[in-house]
Amino acid sequence: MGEEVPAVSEVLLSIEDIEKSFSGVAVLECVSMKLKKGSVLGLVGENGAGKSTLMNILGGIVPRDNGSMSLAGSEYSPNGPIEAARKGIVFIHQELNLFTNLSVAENMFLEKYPRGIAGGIAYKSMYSEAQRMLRALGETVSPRALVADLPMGTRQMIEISKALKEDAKIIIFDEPTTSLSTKEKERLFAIIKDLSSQEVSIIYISHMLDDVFRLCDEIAVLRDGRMITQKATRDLSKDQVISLMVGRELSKLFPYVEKSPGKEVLRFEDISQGKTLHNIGLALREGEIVGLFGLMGAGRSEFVKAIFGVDKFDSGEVFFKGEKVKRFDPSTWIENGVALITENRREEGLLLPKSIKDNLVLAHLNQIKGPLNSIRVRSENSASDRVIEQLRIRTYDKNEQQAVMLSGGNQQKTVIGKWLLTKPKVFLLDEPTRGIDVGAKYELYNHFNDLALDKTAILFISSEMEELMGVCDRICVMCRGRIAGELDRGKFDQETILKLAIEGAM
Amino acid sequence: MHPRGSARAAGEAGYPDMIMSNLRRYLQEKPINLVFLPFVVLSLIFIPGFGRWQNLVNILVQSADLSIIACGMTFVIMNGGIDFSVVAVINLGSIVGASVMTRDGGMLGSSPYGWAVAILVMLIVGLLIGAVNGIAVVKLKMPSFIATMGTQLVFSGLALVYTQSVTIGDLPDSFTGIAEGSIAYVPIPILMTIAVVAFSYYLLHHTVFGRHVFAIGTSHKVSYISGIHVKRTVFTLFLLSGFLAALGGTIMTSRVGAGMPALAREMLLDIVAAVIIGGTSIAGGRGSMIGTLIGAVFIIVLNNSLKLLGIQWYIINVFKGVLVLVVAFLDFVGRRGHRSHGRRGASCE
Repeated sequence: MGEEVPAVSEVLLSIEDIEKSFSGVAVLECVSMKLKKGSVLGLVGENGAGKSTLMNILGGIVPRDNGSMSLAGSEYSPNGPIEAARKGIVFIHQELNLFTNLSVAENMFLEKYPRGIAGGIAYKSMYSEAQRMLRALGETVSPRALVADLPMGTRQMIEISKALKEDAKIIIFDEPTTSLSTKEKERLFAIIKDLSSQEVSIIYISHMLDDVFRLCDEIAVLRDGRMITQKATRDLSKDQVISLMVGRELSKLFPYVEKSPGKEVLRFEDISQGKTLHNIGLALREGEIVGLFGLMGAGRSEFVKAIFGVDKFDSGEVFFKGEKVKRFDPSTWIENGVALITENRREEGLLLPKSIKDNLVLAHLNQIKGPLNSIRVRSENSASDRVIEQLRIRTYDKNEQQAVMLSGGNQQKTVIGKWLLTKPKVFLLDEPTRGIDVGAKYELYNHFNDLALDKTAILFISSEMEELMGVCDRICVMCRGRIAGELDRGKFDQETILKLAIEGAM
Repeated sequence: MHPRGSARAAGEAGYPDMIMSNLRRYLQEKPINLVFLPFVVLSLIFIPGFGRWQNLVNILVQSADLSIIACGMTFVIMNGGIDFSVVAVINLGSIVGASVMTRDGGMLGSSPYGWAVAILVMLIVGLLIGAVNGIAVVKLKMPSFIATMGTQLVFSGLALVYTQSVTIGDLPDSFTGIAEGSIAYVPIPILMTIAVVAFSYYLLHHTVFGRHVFAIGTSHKVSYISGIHVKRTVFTLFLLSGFLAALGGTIMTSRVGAGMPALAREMLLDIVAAVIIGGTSIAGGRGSMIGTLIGAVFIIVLNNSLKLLGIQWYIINVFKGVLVLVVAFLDFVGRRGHRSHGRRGASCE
């Protein structure tokens, strides 16, 4: 798309029959893939399909078991990431690998600082060189700025110019847009197009199919360790790709069920917090899924965190089942049956080095204790087995596998499972499906529906409007710390919602 | 199914399983065993006198106070903290307790139960210093490194001021009998060690409280959001540390037969070393009470066997340092293997 791909363009990288297994479990089976010079290849697949393993083999991070790779016509088998980088294969990770305590230029030249007299660092030429490289990408940030102070989009530009400095032939992007604003995303796409016109090949991994379709010349679909297809984008439709990814037809992306909301359980009145939240009023009823939409920085996360007691708020009142709430701390909320899933599951949701079981039972320990405060091991096991089965968390050993080793989707399921065990009456979900593949999202929506049918009230925060429109009974829109408007299911309309989110109350 | 019946069955079938799997994991994860067992075997073979029954019993008796105090320290280190003030607890407890019960003009010197009151007072001193630490860390949000270093200097200093750096002797026999006495042929310090280690092991590894400690040591934030009373738990850890240090101090005071204001002067490093050698991570969230027991016994074994070989104490310190480094290295190697495994696992998504 975009520029016309020449009919016979040169194949830069060819991967043949790659196989890889970890402790006897096959992760990749006979995977073949071709990447043409200057083309953008979208690599899609559910979590656990093997995308990361394939890319790690390409980047020299893990060795392959079988198969061959060739780069620009010659045999390629990197013995480590450094060699891969030297051959021009650069990986831009989802979590950017920049040192936030260093300046932009220092990050860019970290591997090899330019030297001046007496072996000192030639700061002046380093800064000017860094500036020149950033300008080439249309990035205006000062090379002296501290990375910690920069927004995610700018940080990504720094990574990209670092990659270009290495004279990259292939740049691999792993979910590059998850933390970008729309504007930053547009700029990234423009740069990717530009790179591809300069004969740099791109492998673009993402769950956001709209982006993949817009950006990529070709799409490769991985499922359960097998390469299902690799075709030109124009020969594929979004629905086709989705069904190839999950291996079944998804009748609908968003399951919606009719519910009969009951009594009001939770009501917020005039919640204000400094400059971030202004007079927020909101009510949740039993058995109802309420969406909370807003652009980045609208104050959605700040709002739920403040009322849950993770942060504080200045004024306002909260009523739970008609009674005024006086204590705002997580343990009180949890005792009352209110649960919060924060958007930052790695730092606020999971004990990463601990086992899956330890994570699942964390909020449930007081319910499985026996005499003398002891933990009833059997109840602990059965409780965790129950949610692992219910949510279909993929783990080879719940007692041994650490949460950090799970894929994003399974990590999120673990966080949700932790709260399911507490049988919440109110579930506050902050971006619960971010970074999760289509199939797992669908499963989560079904779980949310089941919870709602079971009279749980759900507040669903998301940046994906389609998702909220698909699942919610009501959508409240926030804009700059205020509730800008509220729409019932019958009146959902993308344009109205977006207008409320951008311009505020009409 | 009857719910109560099934719950009971769970308890019965669950524990042996869990203990076995704990044991297996323990042997894998605690590299100290790779050093400790061979060291003991070599000492038994090559060091004359080491294997004598009396010597072995002595080792256990001598490691009682260190084991008990290190158990308390383990709780604090599990949370990623440290408690330097255990030294002050022992010093101040020793002289306060002694001045209560000494026959040389103590308040209760003539009472037959003076020793019991004295022990109570010593334990209260431990709890009070623990509470001060807890408040400093939980309420004032001071790093435990600084808070307990402060309380250590203040209360150890108070002990010296109070006694003008003189020891308080002439303690009642019923008190000095604690360190030397036996019940059913088992020395009292060993009984106390067993009780304390069993209690600490149960608390850390089998209770809700213990799980909370593991969780808090891993991430305060996740624990708080998951509804754990983080502050209350951390406060309790410092109380435990103070209390167990006081209990260990009781045995030490009884052994020397006097209240001494600098009783624990050289002990701090041994305590921390025992915990670290036992495999508890100084960063928190990972550790074992049995490991701490072995660490403490190992340090005493090292002292004992090297002394039997006629090696000077300052050389013994060099050995202890090497031991800490070796165990830390083995732990590092073991975990690096583990981590690279984790990385591979992560790479398969």
